[in-house]
Amino acid sequence: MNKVILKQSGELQDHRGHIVADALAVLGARLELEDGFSLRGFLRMLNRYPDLQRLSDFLPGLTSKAWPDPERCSGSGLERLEFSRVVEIIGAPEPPKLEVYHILRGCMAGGSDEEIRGWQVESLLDVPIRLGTLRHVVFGDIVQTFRFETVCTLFDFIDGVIWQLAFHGAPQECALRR
Amino acid sequence: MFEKILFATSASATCDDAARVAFELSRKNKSRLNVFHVFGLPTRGFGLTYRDVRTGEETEVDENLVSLVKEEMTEYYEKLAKDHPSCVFETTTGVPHTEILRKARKEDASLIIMGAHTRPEDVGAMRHRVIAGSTMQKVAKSARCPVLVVSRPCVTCWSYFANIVVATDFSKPANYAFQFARNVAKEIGCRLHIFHCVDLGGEAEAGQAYIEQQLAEAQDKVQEKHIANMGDFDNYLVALREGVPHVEVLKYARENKADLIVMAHHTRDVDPEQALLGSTIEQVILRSACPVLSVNHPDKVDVSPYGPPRAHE
Repeated sequence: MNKVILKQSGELQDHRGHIVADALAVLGARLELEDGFSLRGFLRMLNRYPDLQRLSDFLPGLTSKAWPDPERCSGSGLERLEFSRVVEIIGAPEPPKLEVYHILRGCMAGGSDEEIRGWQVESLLDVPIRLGTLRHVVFGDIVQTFRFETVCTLFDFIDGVIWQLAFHGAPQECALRR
Repeated sequence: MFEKILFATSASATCDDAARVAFELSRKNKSRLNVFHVFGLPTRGFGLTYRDVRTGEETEVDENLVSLVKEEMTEYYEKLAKDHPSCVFETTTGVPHTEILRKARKEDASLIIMGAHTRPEDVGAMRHRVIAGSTMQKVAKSARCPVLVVSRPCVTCWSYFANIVVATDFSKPANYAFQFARNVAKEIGCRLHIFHCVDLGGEAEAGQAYIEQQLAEAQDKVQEKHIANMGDFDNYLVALREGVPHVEVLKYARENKADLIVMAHHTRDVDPEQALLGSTIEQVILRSACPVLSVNHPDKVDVSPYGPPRAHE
């Protein structure tokens, strides 16, 4: 399977070390993230390859926004963000279901992981992102969770991250009345 | 403002945000608050057994079990109910949305408050489950009173709301939503944003002239259907956009720090049965940072003491 490296500069590099001109051609390639890659790099990629912005109606708004520089972004307290695939088998209520989806969660320094919907995008922009293991959850009489090594494609990553980002955008403070 | 509030809850952490709003709102308005929890699904219409929705196991219903669950729920809300001694806790077994609607009718509720989900969801998982088929969706579709859906922490108390956005498509239900939003905005003294999005789904190739014509028509409709019915309320703004309605509603609400979004459940004049999946309001509820209120019927919209005389309603 061809590999593509996503760099913090927003560039995509193919398995021969060349910078990719057409992102659509490598959407199915196995993804690797450059060390220190963060959401800021993700937004740079969307600006560099504007065709990708058509994947979500919320993207043009995100990419056109003037995001503050790293030194002006407040810290989130998160050690890293982890992008993982989840496979859930749900037995009850019937009919049984198999659900496969991607999640982007925050990992605290202590090891606990957190839902990041409540964080402002600004505070997540410079948190390093890692590709995590696959979580296989079985909802039976008891809930069992297994973890497996896996790979994801560039499309899985872009699609999963933009789905998550569409949930962000809450105002930072209350508005004042007239 | 609301005489009787029905708070339909799963009595778990997923409804905590909705619970805070329900208790706060009923306390401020001296409303009668009914905290209502439905558990289990009956196996037959008149069967004595029910199937637990989580484990799928069959269990026999007896009074003991119902009162045990009620006790557990009362304990769960002990802290919030402390300042609200008149609130009533009730539990029953059955199909949740049917029982909630039955209860709302029986109690003549002025408002139903709910969370969007019955279990904690990862954002990724919502893609599969969304809200389709959920209790909330079925209640919002059929309730005769407004339904307030709270799925994330509400940063501002209801009575301190500064901005209410009412999204309209000029349909009949949207008019009821407008009436309700205007009345609430007037009552609590906040700004009302009348928002309409020209839906460009499939018409993106139509060009700028077409969009401008649609926007001009929308402006006329806003004037005729809404501004003409403002009465002495003058704290309002009109915003018109073009694009995908749920995206534009969310973007507008975020940009303007909306505290509440008010919409009709099915924003077009369609058969409610056809409005089940993917309606604009469901997409808005899924991603909205503030509570979303669904209004479908004129009932409970013009609740005293608000409601100025209207020209054509």
